Amino acid sequence: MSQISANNMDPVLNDRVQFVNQEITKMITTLPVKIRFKRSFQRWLSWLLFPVLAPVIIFILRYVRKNRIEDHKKIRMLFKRIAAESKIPTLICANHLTKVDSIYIHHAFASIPYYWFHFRLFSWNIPAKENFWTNPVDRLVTYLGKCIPIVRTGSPEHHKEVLNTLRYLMFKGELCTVFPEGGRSETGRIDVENVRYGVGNILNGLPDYRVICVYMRARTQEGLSDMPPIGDSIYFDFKVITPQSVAKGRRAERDIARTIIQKLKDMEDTYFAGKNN
Amino acid sequence: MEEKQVKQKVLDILKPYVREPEDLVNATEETDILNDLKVNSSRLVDIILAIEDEFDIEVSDDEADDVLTVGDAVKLITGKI
Repeated sequence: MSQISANNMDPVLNDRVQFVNQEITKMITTLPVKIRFKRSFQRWLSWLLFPVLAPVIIFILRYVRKNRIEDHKKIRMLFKRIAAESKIPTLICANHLTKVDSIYIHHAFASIPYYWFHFRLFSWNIPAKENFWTNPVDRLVTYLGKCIPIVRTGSPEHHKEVLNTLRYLMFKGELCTVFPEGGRSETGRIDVENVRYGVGNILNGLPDYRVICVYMRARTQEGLSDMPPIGDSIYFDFKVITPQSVAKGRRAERDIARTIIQKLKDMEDTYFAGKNN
Repeated sequence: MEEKQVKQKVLDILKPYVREPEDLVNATEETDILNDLKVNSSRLVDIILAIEDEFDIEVSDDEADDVLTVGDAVKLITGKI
């Protein structure tokens, strides 16, 4: 993992370069080898069993739940273009209404064979351990689905370790998905005031990055639920942004997180404006 | 600045983030910010930033992690001003 070089002509840029280099060093030195190995092994095993598990899940989505992603071909074509464009660290940030949102995002963005050959694009997730770690089947599926469980009420050290792991994976070119609201939207709408700054924390220490903001909603979905309604078509919109801040530390993290949640809110407003016309 | 004044300012800072504003009336040094005042954990960062602005101090991540009660916040601030 290499550090980036400073530009002697620009003190502001130098300041940023210095900060990012410190963050990269911190990332390498503070993330234990054991964790890096654990995630590499998880990735390998997920990839190996992907052709077995993924078709079952897609079958359930398409033929049991009968959900259909609107403009699916167009979404996949655009995603492929964006993904192929560059390997810079990419974070997917989405609104959150159902327990299976991340699965629908995977399904929307690419096909099983495409993921098989470009497995870094099958994004990592950080589901709440209390929701998905309750029985062996859920554990296995989430493990093979490239999930890193997070304990919401866990210690600051635990949270730092998970965020640091995500940052490390993104730096290696892997995609990651997070829900900036931290949990599902209780009102069924994005609550801008409820944003978690962890998303800003992940991005702030990276030299370069982009965020794919995803707004997804089943057409008859009112509030939060476990699954999208059966037979419903899924509205799916995404935009690529690069949120930045001139501030440092926590303030930068807050600025970045707020930019992302505001973008998602704008996308939600667009959805409802279109629905009401 | 006296400890009492600092505590009052901390309570003022907490006011927009507590679920039941009347909980602040009986708040003591031992009052837990998350559990007793039911402050959303994701708003702790806003509280720390507000403290930095109000008292013109800098709080490191480790110091912020140690702030669990109203007393912890007061102690942190009085140690820096």
